[in-house]
Amino acid sequence: MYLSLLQIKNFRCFDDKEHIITFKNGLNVLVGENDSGKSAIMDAIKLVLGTTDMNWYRVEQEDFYKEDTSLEIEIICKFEDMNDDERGAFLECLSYVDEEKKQPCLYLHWKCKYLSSFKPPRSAAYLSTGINGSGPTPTIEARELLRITYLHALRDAYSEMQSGKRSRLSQIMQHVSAIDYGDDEYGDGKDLRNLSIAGIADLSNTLLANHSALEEINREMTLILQQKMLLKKENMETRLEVAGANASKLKKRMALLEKLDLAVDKDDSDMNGRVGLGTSNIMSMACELLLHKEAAKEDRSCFLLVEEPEAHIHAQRQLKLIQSLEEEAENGNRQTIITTHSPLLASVVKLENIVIIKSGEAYSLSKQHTKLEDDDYLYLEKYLDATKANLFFARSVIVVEGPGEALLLPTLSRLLGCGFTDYGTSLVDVRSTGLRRYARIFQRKDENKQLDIRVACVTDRDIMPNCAPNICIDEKYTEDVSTWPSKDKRAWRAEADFSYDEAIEYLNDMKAKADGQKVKTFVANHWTLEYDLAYAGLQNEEMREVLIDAVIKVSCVEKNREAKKSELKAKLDKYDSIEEKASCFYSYFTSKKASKADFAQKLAVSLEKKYADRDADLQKVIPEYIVNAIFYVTKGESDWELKG
Amino acid sequence: MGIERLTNIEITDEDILWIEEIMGGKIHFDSDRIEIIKSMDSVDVQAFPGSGKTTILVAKLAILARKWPYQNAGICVLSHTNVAREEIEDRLGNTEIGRKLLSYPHFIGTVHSFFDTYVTLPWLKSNGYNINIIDSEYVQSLRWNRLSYNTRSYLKRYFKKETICEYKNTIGTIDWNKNGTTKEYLLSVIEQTQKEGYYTFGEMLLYAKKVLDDWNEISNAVQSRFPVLFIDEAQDTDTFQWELLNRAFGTDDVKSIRQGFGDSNQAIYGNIYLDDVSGNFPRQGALVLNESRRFDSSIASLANTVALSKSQMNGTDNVFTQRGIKNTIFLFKKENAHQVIDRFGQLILEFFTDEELLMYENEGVHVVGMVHDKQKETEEKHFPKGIYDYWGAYEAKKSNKRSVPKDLIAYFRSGIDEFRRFGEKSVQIEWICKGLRQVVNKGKGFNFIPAIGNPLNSFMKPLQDNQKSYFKMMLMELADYQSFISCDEWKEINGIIVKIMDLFGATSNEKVKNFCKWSKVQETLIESNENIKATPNHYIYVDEKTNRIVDMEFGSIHSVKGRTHLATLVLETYMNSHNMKSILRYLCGKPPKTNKHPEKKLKCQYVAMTRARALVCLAIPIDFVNETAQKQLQQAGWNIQMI
Repeated sequence: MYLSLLQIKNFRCFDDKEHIITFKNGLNVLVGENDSGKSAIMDAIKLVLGTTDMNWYRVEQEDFYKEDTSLEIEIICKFEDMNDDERGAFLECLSYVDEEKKQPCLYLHWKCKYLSSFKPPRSAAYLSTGINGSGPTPTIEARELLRITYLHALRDAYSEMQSGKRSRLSQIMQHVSAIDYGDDEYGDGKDLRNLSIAGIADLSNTLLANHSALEEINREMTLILQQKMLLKKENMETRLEVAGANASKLKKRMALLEKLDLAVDKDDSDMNGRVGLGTSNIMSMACELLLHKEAAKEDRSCFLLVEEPEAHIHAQRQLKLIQSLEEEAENGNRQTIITTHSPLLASVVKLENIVIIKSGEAYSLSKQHTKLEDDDYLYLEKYLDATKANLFFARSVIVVEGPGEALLLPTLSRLLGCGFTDYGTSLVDVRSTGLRRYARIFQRKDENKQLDIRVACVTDRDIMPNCAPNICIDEKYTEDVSTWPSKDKRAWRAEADFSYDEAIEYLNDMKAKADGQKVKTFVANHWTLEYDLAYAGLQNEEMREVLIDAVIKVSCVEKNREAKKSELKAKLDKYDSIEEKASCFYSYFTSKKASKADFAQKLAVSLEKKYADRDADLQKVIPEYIVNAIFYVTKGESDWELKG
Repeated sequence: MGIERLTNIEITDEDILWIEEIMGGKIHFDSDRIEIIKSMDSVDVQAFPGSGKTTILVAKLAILARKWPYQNAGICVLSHTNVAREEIEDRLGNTEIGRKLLSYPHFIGTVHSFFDTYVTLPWLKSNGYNINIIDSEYVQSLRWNRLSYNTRSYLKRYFKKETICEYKNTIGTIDWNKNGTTKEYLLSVIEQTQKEGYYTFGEMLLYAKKVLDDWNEISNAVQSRFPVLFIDEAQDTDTFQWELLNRAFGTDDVKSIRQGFGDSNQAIYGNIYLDDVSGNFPRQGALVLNESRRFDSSIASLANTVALSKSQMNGTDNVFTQRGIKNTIFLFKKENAHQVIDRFGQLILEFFTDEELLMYENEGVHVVGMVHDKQKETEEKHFPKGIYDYWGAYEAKKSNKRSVPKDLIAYFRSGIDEFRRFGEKSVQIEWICKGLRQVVNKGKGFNFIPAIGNPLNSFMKPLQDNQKSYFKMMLMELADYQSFISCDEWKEINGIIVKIMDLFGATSNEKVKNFCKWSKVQETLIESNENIKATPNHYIYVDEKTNRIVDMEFGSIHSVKGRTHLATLVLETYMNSHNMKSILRYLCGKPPKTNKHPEKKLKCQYVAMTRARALVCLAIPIDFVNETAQKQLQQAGWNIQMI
């Protein structure tokens, strides 16, 4: 079985509205910024189900929504896909709600009140079952089937793996079934190799009791007593006893297991068998997984909750770890729920396993919840890397199609007074394809449960002015369309190819492909970023200098620059219309004289110098769609709409 | 996990020794019984009366519970009365094993409560139905009273009564063939009351069947949870219950095993109007316990004459053997019917000493008949029709549990009465709460406080913390009354009742006022108060010369099933025909050569005649037994006395 649904009310950041988090069988990775509610979700699960390390969690005043202790915390867990044994165990508690699959499921209703009339005040929890909580309270034996293994983020993994009273290691070993095998008692002629753990304890007790030196001491003790201390005819003999020799099998076994440390082979490590926090962390996780192997043998379901497994672990190990967890979770009756802040982790798990947590709401990226198509999943899983995966942790996202935008937009946003880092905006450069697939990550099937993450898709219009074929492609093309190759023989489009209506339709089409919910497409006002920069900037004296300086700097060596600059200026002056001027400027990129990335970089550096603290001036000389996109993802929808 | 896990459980001779010791050291199981205890196969046990069937079952359960290695799968023990559960509570209740057996993951209870708990209730709750009261009689009459006067009169003309207000055979059908408005009306009333949470016992089972049919994976879950099923008094399971059990547990012994314990000769269902000849018990290859330890061979051979099974029962000698006790048939002239009981009393005093009567006080002396519930005056040709024709003061209703109080003060008095008898304040508070629940619900006009679970808890649920302590304070005041409440005291109490109604937002109305009226103490309460030992349906025979006393308990044959008596008198009664008259040839040891036996009457007679350790008597009008028959009866071992 697996936990398919969690509903939380009045707990931590969750208010009394309906907060439903759905989980899938297998792996679930909860991502989201701090205070978004990830830990609250983990703690809610822990409170209801209990943990295998038998720790006990008390509900405190601050666990109530806004610390209002007059509220009642309510947590509902739903379990599906139960096997016959599990259904049998919860037979009297089952709910018959799935009329389609005809498979009864289990609902747990956990309620907690704060009893402030007691001094000191305390919380009291009550558990029931049934879809509306009217079923019987499940027995403690049955609840054991639901206990979760929980690994918290900054635990002391090192000491968990060390010997000692009630060490975690010894607790885990207790659960391994093979530990029961063997002779529990040592006797003459028994093969030592067949002894069980308890048998070894028995052997050591026997050896101790019969040790010749100890026997000698005992004899002398008796002698001293009889000769020096006791009266004649008083008869008393001493006997050395091994403490705990009559302890139960379980206690004997525990005592021995508690002597164990988990260490690594000295020769294999540079650290002489001592390991750091990170390695301890991995070792302790390996230990917990051992428990799950045991459960799998009995076809028992198990639940693993890990908070920030990336803690103390370097990148490559993180990747290996998450992939193992994913594999483990996918084969067998094992549900794993992980929280993470690591884009690296988020980038390697399957997209459908990710759940975005945003201000107390959960947005699963599994197939039934997003507008992503099946091939989107394939594509995104292939191309989603750590740099792109930071979009899962963002408050807003700006998706761009090329290095030009990627390099320039952060600078522009900062100069416009709304820096991406300040607003928690992630910029994702998808390199010319797949823009809309990324956008769809943020679009939900359920229109009523939109994800409050604004996404701006910045894209080129890709329609050149009619003068551009001549200037940028081939001189033989004039503004007369008949000089151009027929439409199906060329990859480019110019304004003349579209009627007014067609142009509008083309634009709307472009937006429709991605727009929806909080996703907005921002299309270049004219052609491409660089063309539009020239179009907006060449008309302004100061910006004209900056643009020309940047493009010349990246297109020729230093000694020729002044000459080339004058040459370009003269050329630009020759053209009358701004379209021609901008096309001329843009021809540096079509002719591969300048790289767009280099240009963006140089331009960004110059703009930083010239336009620091001059946001109003800058706004006038850069393309409007860029400004709009930046405002939308930073200042927000309302500001942007005012402007638009 | 499947049935193969049961191979992990092996019952050894050591276990047998252990249980013999646990059960007081007086019981020693012989090899036949040990074989039954050890068996982990799907096999039935045909056990003759007094063969110690229940003891064997309890022993087996205790051993299994002790060795049981599974946390979430358990043993299921089904019975038709609460006898099995009580027996376990009696014999093992205070031991760790007993507590284990009575809790998760095991189940011990009736077939009804099993299906209610594990199938019907979860399903009903999932589908938004409330559960308020599950009771056939109460719910039928609730529905009947909802019908209009005209409809009721109409139905009565067709000899229909309350019992028509219940689904029969399947959900949505009733015992009324005519389609039309009456049927629709009836069905709508049933549906409405079910929405409000009222169900009959039978309807709960019908729903269980529906769930098991619709959700076919549940059967696997049931068998995963209960890989071992024991059915006590298996012969009493009716056809529909077998159908349910077969569906829930399967019949192929693949996922769970089943062991039925019972006596096919005693297959009389809880009610004389029902019958079952399903042949589900015993299955082929049953283990047989044919040796009764209750009585000796003299009673065994008399009982064998009315046994249906081919195998015959043997008796074992006990302290009453060789004492010259004569099992007697009283042949009476009809006008002397009322003397029969006294003559039986005399016989008892003749055969048993006072010390013996005291020693066997719990088992007692019983007078039974097939018919005990008086519907109307007996017609001449039917005489003697029921027990009441021998003893006019007999009241069938009182042989059952106490009736529900009619008004609030009766609830209060019941509470006071029980507090006086048992000294438990919580019992008194429970009675008060039950009464208050009626008041609040009547005031609210709907069931604001549901009639399930602990009534005090139901009251607490809708209250805020500070209100809770206020309510408790008022309850304490109400529970302070310890006499039987005078008219003045009742006025004070009513003041508190008003406050309580306020607390729950209930307003007074006609119904509330009627319910809260003062009334005088009822007779029965005074009786029990004055501590006269006059338990209902006990007849006390006093011998005039010696002043020796015999306390005889009256009841139906069905009510004494599974019990052991010191002595039993079986009275002739009338059910379609005179019961013993129609099986006289069997009693005479000359059964007719036919395949059609009057099974029901034979089984009843068999049950009645196999209760007593020491003495069995019959009472039959002399008109029914001619001289030839008298001789045959004597040959069969009966002593005959004329009255």
